Amino acid sequence: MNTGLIIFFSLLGGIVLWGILLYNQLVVLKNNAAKAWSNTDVLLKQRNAELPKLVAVCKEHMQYEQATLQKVMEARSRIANAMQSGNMGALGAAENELRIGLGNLFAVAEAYPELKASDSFQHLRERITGLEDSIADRREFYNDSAAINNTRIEQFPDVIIARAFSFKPFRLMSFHSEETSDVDVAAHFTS
Amino acid sequence: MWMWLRTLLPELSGTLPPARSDRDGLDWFQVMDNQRLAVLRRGGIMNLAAAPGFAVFWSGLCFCLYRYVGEAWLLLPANLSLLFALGLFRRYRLIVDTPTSRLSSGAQGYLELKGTAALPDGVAFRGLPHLPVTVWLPGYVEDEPFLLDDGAGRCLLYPRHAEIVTFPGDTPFSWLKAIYPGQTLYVLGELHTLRASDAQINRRERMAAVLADWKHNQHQLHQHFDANGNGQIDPEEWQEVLTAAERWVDADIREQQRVPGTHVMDGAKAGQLFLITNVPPERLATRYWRAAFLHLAFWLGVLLSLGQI
Repeated sequence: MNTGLIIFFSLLGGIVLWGILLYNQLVVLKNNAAKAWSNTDVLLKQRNAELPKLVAVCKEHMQYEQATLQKVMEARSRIANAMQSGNMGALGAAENELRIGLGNLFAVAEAYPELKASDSFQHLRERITGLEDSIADRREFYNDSAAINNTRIEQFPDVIIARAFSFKPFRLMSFHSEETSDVDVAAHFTS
Repeated sequence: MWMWLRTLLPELSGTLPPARSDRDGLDWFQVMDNQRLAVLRRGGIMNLAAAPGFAVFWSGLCFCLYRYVGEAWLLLPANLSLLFALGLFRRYRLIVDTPTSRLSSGAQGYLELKGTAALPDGVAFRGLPHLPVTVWLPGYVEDEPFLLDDGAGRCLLYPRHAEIVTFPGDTPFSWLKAIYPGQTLYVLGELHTLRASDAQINRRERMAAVLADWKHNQHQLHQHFDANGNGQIDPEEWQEVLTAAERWVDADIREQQRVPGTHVMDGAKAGQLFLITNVPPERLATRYWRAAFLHLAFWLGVLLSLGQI
């Protein structure tokens, strides 16, 4: 065979193989981000399944704290709706509400010694706190995966493959300003 | 080499040891030979192609082909170099683009972990006599699982299907490629967590199983729940049985939830890379990128020069 022809096919083969490699890498990134989201989703569902149990146990002892319990349950249903619709913005806001609601609930529970001593309450508190920590870790992991995917599909030459095969960016799970801002300790003492 | 080893290990300086082996029959040259082959085998062809010595070998081979066989034959190593470049670039991108997970949350899927190497619980020594304790020693202990501890959790690594890249540790044995306990590890692979049995968490099924078990033991059932002693479990008494069973199942589920699962990495799905290394990932990524660039440059260089000829 003519050497020139071999060179031509070698160059063509190289370009095609490079394109396949880039495409496969983008598929891996997309799947990583999707898997990272499903990792978070599993824990959100588990935590949402535990919340009614926690509220039921609290109701037995906290007759005068209906508003606090109500807030937790409302935030829970907002999270469920946001998860169903895939609305990351609403999910972030509802998560924030729930975190505040749970904080209040656990703070108020300190005033009920019987509730504090209850095995079920202790277990649910432990479990929900553990799930919250894991959710925070997995949210960070999801955001990392999504950010890597979003950067790659905008970089050259990946952008050519990404546009040709309609690779979409993933939305990040946003952190609210209350979570990321420094805590004003002085304000707590003066109020 | 033997003399040098003797100065390091005085216990080897016994009376008339064989020239190449110690009293326990450990042949150091054999150890080195086994190591060399095993490192190549476990590292795979791509890591061989990324080694600095490979560039010398490759250049020599190409020179021989050009000089004695014919310049057109250079296309063969050039196209192989293209494949090396693609494989190395893929590895580089995987290291750079895979997010790091923490074992405390145990995210499942393809991810990277960073932590320290450790022997599994109950294993005090692994390796060869007269050598430091190792968790993985090519040519000798290659398929035994070991642990990665990231400070918040531990993951059991099964290295059988892994591509393992090592560099000599901070020991007097500068020629020994191994993974030592306490060394920083970088792992890329598919993580999954084994639990007692997720199906067992299903409360309804567990209730049914407990009730069936209790019904099977009628004597004990009557002893505990037949409050009026009429020899039968009345509807009110049956409610008590249900409540007791619920309590029992709930307590059991709580216990199960308290037990953390075991994180395991034993391979990667869909032909993905399962990489274990004690080389810092930044250094490894740079090595892969440079090697990929050199192979690609060589491929292009050969094509362009042959095109001119």
